[in-house]
Amino acid sequence: MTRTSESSTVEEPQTTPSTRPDANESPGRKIWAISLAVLAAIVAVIPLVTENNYYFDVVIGILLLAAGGSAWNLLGGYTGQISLGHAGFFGLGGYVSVLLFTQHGVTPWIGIPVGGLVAGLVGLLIGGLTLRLRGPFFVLATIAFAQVLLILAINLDDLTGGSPGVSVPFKAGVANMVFDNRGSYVWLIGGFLVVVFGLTAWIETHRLGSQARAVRESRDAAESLGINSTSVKLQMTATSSALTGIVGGLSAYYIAFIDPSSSFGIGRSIDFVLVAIIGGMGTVWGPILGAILIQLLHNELSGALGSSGAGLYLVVYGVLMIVVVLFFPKGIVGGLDIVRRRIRTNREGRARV
Amino acid sequence: MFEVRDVTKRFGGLTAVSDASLMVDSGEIVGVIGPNGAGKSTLFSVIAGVLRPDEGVVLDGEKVLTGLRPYRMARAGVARTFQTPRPFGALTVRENMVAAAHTVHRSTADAHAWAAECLERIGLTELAEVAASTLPLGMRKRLEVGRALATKPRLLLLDEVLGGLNPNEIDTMVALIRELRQSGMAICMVEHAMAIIMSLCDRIYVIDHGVVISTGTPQEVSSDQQVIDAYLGGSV
Repeated sequence: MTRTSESSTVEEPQTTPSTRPDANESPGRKIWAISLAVLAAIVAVIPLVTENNYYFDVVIGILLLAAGGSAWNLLGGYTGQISLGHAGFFGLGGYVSVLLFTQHGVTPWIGIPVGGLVAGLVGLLIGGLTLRLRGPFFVLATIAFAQVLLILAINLDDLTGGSPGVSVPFKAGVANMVFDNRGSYVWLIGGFLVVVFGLTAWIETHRLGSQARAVRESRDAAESLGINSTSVKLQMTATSSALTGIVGGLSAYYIAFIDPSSSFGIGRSIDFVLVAIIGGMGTVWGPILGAILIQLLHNELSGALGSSGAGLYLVVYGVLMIVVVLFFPKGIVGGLDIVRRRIRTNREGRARV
Repeated sequence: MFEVRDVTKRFGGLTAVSDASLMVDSGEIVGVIGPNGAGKSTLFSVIAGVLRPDEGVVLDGEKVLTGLRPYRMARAGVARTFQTPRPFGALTVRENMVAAAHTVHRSTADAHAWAAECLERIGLTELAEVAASTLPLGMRKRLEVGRALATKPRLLLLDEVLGGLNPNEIDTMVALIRELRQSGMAICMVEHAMAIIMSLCDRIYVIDHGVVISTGTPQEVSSDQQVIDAYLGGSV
């Protein structure tokens, strides 16, 4: 075989083989360990510094929203599969855990994980049926899925109690997840949020997260590089829906009540999407920051607007969403990033002078 | 040795590739040329697993690869670049490489180390933390090749990686491709720039209307009367 001239430019690409030890370690690991510790510390301290039940209510609202938004974010933010039906998984987890308790006496400590498992399996099923399709089919399927569950929950009233919902009977005791002190719920639900946060950070810095983002950016390119996009999407769907199911269980036991419309309604689905988008899709902190903002805003607005403007807060959310999408496509986290970078370049500029 | 044997691909009534055969050995650069619409891209898509041939087989030695889905093809050692680069735009250059490196390295640390090595090889280390969407075309094409390399292919399919590059960028890319040949990779490239193809390739296949009309060394092919008539139009 004829070898055409190996020209002198062969050596060219070997420009200074810079040894970068930091590039070999996954660089974010330390930062995430610290972030995790900070979050855990905040959750641990809150019940020690206040005994005000109103504050607990607000904090737990934030924690549930943050956990649900983070779970949604795994699929919507990292994998680019927008679900508008996460209420389905939320309600499924809630109903399974509550009905296991009221009808079979199963403790929520087992019932809630079982609810999560059921939600995860159903997520896998829905995903398996729809994720291969291109275009908006997945979004549409998720909306339909939550609506179907809503209708089933209302109509199968022998099983679910129908639209009036089901109360969790008050039986004091840790075994029934009923605590004397509401602060314990902060630890419980906050502890779960810490787990979700840690899992998200782990996924982000490891193989699955790397491949999920590749699939999000270009499915064809990802496949051409050996990434099984269907498998990646299914793994993320299962994780996301299972975690959302657990959030649904925790929520039901916290308020000791569950009903179809607040569990399976589209509003619930939108809440999770909203906190993730406003906080920053595809970022670990995003849904948490988004949840803080949305929950506080919700409290302020419902106070300020009173009963006269019952639906008005939705208008405010809508405007907020548009502003974020237009000016901060990476949400609060992206905005903070810009600020941080600007400060850094300013400092460097001054140092040079 | 990778081999395409008697591959035919039809789209409805149109036969895009007809009974085409092609071989690429390790350490060899094979060029596929032909006028627009000759069936070069279709042939590439068959090898890459994007299209399933109606007839014929794709072989890696004795192993049959025909009909494997693209990600399986990539895992079997066949990597391809896209004619229009498809970077993972929102990700940094390094993250692009890491995603590909994860195909051959499960562990995060190994994938990062291998990605860094590949970045060095394609000369994009300086731009590692830049979002891929901000790269100019020349850099995108380099990233495209680098990402393919990160999957440790034995056969590399290059779909017009030189198109749209300035002379400097072409020199860099050509040097890289030669280096890859030396490392023992089998390389198959579709290209329009005739002068480069003639100087770079060990063997050339000329396709016209889906049929391989000539094959051989650049000298043999360019003096083939059939090629001159059908494709080069006597101008070479």
